[in-house]
Amino acid sequence: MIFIHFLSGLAFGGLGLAAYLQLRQGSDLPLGRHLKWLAAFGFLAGMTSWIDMFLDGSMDQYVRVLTILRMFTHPLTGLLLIRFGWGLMRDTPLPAWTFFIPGVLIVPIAYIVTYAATTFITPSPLEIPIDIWSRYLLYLPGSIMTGIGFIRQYNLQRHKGLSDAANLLLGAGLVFLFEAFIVGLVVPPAPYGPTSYYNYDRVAYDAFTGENPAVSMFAGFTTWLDYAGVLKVTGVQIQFLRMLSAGAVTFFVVRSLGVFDANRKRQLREMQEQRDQAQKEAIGTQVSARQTAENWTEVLININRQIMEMENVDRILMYIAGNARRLLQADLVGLALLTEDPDHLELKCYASGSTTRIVDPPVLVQAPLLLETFRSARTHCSSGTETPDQLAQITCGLGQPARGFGSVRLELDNQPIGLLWATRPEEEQCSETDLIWLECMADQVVIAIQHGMMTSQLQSLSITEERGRIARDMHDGLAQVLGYLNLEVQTLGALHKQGRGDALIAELEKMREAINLANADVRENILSLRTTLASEKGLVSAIAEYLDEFGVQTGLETCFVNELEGEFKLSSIAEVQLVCILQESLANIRKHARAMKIDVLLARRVENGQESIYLEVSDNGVGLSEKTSAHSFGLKTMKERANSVSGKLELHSAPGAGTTVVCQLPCLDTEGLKKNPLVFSQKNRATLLKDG
Amino acid sequence: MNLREWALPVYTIMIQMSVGMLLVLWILRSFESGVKNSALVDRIIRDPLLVIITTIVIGLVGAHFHLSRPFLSFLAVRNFATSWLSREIVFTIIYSLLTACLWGLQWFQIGSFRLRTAVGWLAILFGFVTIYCMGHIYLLPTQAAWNVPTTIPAFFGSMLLLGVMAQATVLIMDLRFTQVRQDESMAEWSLIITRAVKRLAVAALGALLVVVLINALHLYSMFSGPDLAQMSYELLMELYKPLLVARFVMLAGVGYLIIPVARMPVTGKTVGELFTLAYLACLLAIVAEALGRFLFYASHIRIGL
Repeated sequence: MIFIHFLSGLAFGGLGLAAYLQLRQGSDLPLGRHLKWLAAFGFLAGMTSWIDMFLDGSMDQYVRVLTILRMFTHPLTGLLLIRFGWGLMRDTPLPAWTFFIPGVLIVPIAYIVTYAATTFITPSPLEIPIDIWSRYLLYLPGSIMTGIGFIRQYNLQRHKGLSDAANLLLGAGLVFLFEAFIVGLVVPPAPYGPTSYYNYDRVAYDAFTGENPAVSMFAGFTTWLDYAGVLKVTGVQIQFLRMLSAGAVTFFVVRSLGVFDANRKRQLREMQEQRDQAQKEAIGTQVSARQTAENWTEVLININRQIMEMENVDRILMYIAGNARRLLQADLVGLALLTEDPDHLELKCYASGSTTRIVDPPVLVQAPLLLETFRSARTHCSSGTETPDQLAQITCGLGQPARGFGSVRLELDNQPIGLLWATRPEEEQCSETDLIWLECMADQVVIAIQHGMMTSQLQSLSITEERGRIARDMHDGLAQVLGYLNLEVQTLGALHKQGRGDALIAELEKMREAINLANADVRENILSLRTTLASEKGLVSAIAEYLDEFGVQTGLETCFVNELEGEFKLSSIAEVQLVCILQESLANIRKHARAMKIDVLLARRVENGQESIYLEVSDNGVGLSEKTSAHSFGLKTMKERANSVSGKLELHSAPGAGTTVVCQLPCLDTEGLKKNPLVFSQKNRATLLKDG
Repeated sequence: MNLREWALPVYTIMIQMSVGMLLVLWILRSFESGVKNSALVDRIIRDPLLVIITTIVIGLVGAHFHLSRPFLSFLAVRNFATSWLSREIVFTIIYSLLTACLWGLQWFQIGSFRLRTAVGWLAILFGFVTIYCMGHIYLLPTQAAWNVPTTIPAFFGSMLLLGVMAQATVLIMDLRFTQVRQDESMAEWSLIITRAVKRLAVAALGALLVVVLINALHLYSMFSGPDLAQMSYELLMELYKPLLVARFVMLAGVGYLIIPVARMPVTGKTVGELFTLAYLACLLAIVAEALGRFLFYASHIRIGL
């Protein structure tokens, strides 16, 4: 028996030591927070077992001291176990119905405590009721709560995927329930119930009444179920079973403390996974942001290109609205412009779903929310306080009912000219970034409108200039010829009066030549006007048609070599200027060069990474002296035209060697050149010279 | 005391506690049932009424363990005119039926508010009569220790203390349970319970003083009574002294635990946080009263045979 107590004490002491060592490492697990109580329980339970060992030994002189000591350590052990089990149970959320358990148990507990109190006045030695009620009232509920607590921890860890540690926790829970039975229910003999049943020995004496317990045995318990019956069957003393239980408790609890290491590893793994996930998300966010920025940049570049190419303003506005809707993932993007009445906005353009449209005739915007935001702020984002009716109106009946929107006021020279807004059908409000992008688009709208207005002014100026040129040509050409013809008619009259028929016929011949010359000028002017106005066909086609027509009208041989392939990015103005330069060159050849053949070469050329369109007009006429070319008004006009679009023009000529006009006008986009590296080849140039 | 005798304190204490709980609940209902609150108060008192019914059932079951032939207990009614025990049985049955009826009316919301109020007060009245009969049984000329003026007031004191303590605990427990389920609006409920528990804690302190005073008077009555009463007094002061001391210590413990609940607004703790204190105080009160009842029975010395 001494050895059994020694082993029990050793087992519980080991349990306390293991719990203490684990406690020093710290943990945020529920079990970790209550290890101090487990450690204290282990040490005290071990101490109690060793007190029992000494009491069973032959240390009679210390029996009194040891007995008194045990009267304190034994209940304290049960109290510590209750504290540990209670904490372990409470740390995991309990179902609501468990709140009633204390209420249901209060009356039985109260009566059991009362009954226990009355047993202290029986003739039994004091240590007996203390031992018995420590087991019944402290150790039994403590073990049950600890067992349930470990089983709850088992469930918790199993859900976390720590099945190995979880199984050990389950083992610890079951062992504590076994401990509840053999330590909490089997008690020393005493002269009162219920210890007269589940105790080491049956006691046939009742301290209060003197009745025979066999007579008053409650509920007809059978004798084979009591401890004596169990002992008879198993042949094992209760102390031995308790030692086994202590060993099992220590084994399972100490092994299950490995849950802390497993939990630390799991936390480390989770942290690594979270870090990896965060990195992935960060990279994904960066990529997404970059993609978004690239999309927006591409759209902005395209808008700028369209503006520079002086495309139709309506088309640019539609492009802006459509792409703003797509990139903002909006349901509707609307663009309204101020009317002459400063209180009214007219819907000019909108994009909704797959539809992007110019509203013609414009519709008056009547949504008070839009008008209010137009008046109050440059940028505005819905706050979520708007009513559904207010939000429904801002779609102008063109999209789904809006639940949020953002708007930016269009300003030209700090004066409001309109409003650009985007609506969303979801609860999600516009972000700061969305508003910034919407602001960018609004700026592009203003630039497009401004450019449209400037182009219109330029066109007016061009018309005025063209009218001046026609007037000048008529003055220099047709008016002179008509004046000359007037004089000739007077001369013819005089010759007729004089009867000089031969001279009259000669003058008539001169008049015919003058009329032919005037006719050629007029026809050329008509051709020039028609070619310039017909630029929608494309530059190359316009040039080819013009040359054909010119050859037919003048009788000169024309040869056109086109080395341009694919698309080229020449602004509309530059195209017009190029055609005008060609016409001027051809007119000069017809008038002054006395040439028989004209070669025209059109090609792409790259110099210092800058792509340009190359035009070369050469003739086999009489050529020009340096002095003549320096004072040529037509040449000066051609150079001005080339310079106006950042181009250059050169003249190569010598008397008797023909004349070559070389013009280079820069393209808008060099990216296209990289894809189509067509340059003016020396081979073609050689062919051209050879033909010339 | 053997097992059969232990059934008697179960019956007396449970019935006294149930009458006390019902009295406390009905007073609170009167305080809180304004026009705005009546539906909520009806809901609040529903579960405590169920606890009262359960308490009565436990008491009645306990009483039958005390009888030799429980199934013939109804025959006791025949001696209603002469026996306080018969009267106790009759009035206990009436009180139990009335309370069960009240619970049914309240649970299923049958009848008007006034009807339920009237049935409740009627049940309380019969509860008082039952406790009076219960106490009067012990006014026996042959039992000097019991036949003192403090016996009946002691029973009513127990009723008051246990009723107040148990009802406070039940109200807090029900509040916590409903809060965890969170299927109802709890703000107003919580406010009512907080107010009620504070009042009950103050009432419990008063009831505690009454109980201690009655017990002191009871001891003095025995001490200054006839020889046999003095013998009972000596019995209490010698053999049962540890239990007597334990009882007074427990009553002091009840006061110690309930004071923080009464000072709830000052300490700033919520009613839920004070549940453990209220629960332990209630447990101590029941133990103290059960011990008191044990001592009451144990101190008797019969005159003659």
